[in-house]
Amino acid sequence: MYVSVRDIPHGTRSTARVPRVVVVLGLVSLITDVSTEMVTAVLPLFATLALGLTPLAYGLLDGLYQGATVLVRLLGGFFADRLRRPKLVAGAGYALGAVAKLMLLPVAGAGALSAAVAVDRAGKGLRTAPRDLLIATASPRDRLGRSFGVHRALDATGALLGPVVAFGLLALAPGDFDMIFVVSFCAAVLGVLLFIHRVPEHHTPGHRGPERHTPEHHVGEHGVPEHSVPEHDASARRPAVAGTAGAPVSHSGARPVSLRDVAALLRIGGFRRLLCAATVLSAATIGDGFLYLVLLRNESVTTRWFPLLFVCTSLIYLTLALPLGRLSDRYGRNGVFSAGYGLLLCAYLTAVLTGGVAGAVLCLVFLGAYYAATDGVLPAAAAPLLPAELTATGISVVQAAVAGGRALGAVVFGAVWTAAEGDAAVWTFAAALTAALLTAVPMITRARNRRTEAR
Amino acid sequence: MTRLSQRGIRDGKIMMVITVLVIAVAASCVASSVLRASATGGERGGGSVELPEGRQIVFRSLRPGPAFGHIAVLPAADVRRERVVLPTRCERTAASPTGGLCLRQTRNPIQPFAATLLDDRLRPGEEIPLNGIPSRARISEDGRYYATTAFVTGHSYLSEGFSTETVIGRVGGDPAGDVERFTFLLNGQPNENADRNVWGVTFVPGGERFFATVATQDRRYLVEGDIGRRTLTALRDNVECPSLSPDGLRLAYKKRTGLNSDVWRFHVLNLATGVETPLAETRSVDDQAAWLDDDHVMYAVPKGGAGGRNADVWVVSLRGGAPRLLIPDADSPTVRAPAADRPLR
Repeated sequence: MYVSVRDIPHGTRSTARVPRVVVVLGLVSLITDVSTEMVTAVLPLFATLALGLTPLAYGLLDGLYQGATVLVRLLGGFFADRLRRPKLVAGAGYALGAVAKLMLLPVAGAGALSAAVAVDRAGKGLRTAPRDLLIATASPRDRLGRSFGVHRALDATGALLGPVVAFGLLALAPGDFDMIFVVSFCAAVLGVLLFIHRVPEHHTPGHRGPERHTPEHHVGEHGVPEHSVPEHDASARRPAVAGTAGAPVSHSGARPVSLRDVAALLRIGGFRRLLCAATVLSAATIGDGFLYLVLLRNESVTTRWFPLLFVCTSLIYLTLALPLGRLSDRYGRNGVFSAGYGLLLCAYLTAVLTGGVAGAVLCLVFLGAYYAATDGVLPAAAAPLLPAELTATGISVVQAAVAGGRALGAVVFGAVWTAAEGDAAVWTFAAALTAALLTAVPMITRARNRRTEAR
Repeated sequence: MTRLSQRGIRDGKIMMVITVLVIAVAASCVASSVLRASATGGERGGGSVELPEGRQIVFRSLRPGPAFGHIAVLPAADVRRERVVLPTRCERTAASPTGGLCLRQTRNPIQPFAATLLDDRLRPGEEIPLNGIPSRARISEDGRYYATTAFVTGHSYLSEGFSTETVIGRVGGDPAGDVERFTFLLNGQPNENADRNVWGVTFVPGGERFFATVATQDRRYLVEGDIGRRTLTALRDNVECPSLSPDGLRLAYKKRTGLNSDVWRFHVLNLATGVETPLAETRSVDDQAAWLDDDHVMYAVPKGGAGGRNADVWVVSLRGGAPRLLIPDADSPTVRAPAADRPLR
């Protein structure tokens, strides 16, 4: 089993300590995201130009499946825990993604297109929670933020490269969407291959803390030199984090988890508060598309630069994901998570208060930083609060709550945006977000205090 | 342990072979696609194409093959003749006696779409950037103005806030600008709704007036626009994509029928009497109709089904009778009468 140690990436000192599985999962996400995002980028084009659908119909279709993903996400988390085979469930999700690309080839109408999109979204929903569980399992608890940061940075890189690859190819052969779909399918298959071959299966996610590790279950933790843990001052201050979250002792090897166990998750005080806080905060978000429209309306940017707004946000996100993840390990994940929504508030205010290119750039910096401070930090904050055999379920619940909250926020903002002037709608949401922050921050800060007290 | 590692090595080899195969499939697919694209390229070459005499139907040929999407021309008097396919590829096209308009994809990833003005023999000339996916194109009969509508959507993140951008330009001059910034008069009052979208322009011959669609708060309005005064005046609602007849007396448009349903039927409005008549086409067609002559309206209907991504041009008579297939494998039709054939007004 020592063979695999050879494959530890020889990077800088800090990245060398990131568990190998996390890097591999990051690369799988990168390749899969290139595949998915290259299709997503050309799909509006394909739907309107090749199929003759109106963008309104396409937008409806898109929104419909955003809602459906929330359910699949929960199922993915639950089955990963129930079957105790996160790799199997995540692998199925990646495979579905590949199948969806193949389904696009014979598409000739709205029905077939929506079926392909549905399968793609189902795959994405299914794989998210088990994959995050694999990341959490492979990482020492005091480095969860860093691990998720590394993963999200690679993930965002893929999402950024996808559209570039797609439009590059489309420029070489205008109108040949089938070629894009085939290339995307090939990329998805490469992602699946890498995942199957290089990610070890954890049959029993219940065995996570180092103290419970048997040699067979140690595979995922190659590349984490033992000495690095005590060196880290955060872990020195909180040596017993693993046992202090109020998580029941895992009864691994016993009966499979049931829905009743899932309901019991809400009795874990820290988790319940994090879930409430995340839901309340995410329901006060506007949605990137609308924020870009605000910038457009205030004449900070012109329609011509519209696609670049997304690129700029992603760049900031992938740059800051790792540093903010490390910061969250050091100064508390709940704190960084709340600060992320503070950054979002700054993004709203810059969008309405400043003008010009500089104002737009500043707004996008805040927006990208918000994603970096929340997207990977949330599962990192949730994982230590959860019992080992329900980690995937718990992560999926909190992520589904955020997704649902965001969807609600987007719908409400859309309504306010149509009814009132653009800036008034943003002010409304800035006020709502301030209120949400005032409610949520004491809630999760208290959760952290209690953990410290318990020690 | 040795058996295990041997198995590992064998698995590794199989994975490597599959990986190489997958990459080879992707590479060969890209290569063949690019070769096909460059074989049909040379868009500015072959200027010696002979256009048919008399009134012409200019459209986009969707016949499968290397010339898919190219501009093609047929004599209006005899559509059964073999189509003349031009070297220019478009997503939308429109023609006038003095020229034409072609909305197309470019090879520049930073500016993926452009509008190209065509000369009287439909050869590409001046190029204007287009800020989105081509949707509608029209050019005025005197060739002075052109109008482009594009869907502004860059990424799925933006799909929740899709919008259109409609620009009216002067041929050989400055663009008159984004029509969405014109003053929208609803019931005589200026309306300031933020979510306004404008599309589907049709020009009134010989002037600065046009008709178009304005959408706001989930309602669609037929509007009359004025380029000089920069106004859009609402005439009636639940109507979109108008098209003015050659004699300037009637408007063909899509009208929403039924409550809260997205079913659209072609209707013709007599501008003098205000009488609205449904056409015999009963399908819900999403296209801006074009007039074949003062009695016939034509439009593209997607084929759907297997081997889709294709459309046919159909024609329906104002005097009744079932719609019939006019040009198979085609869309984006408009009629032009070359200058010599124009009746003197």
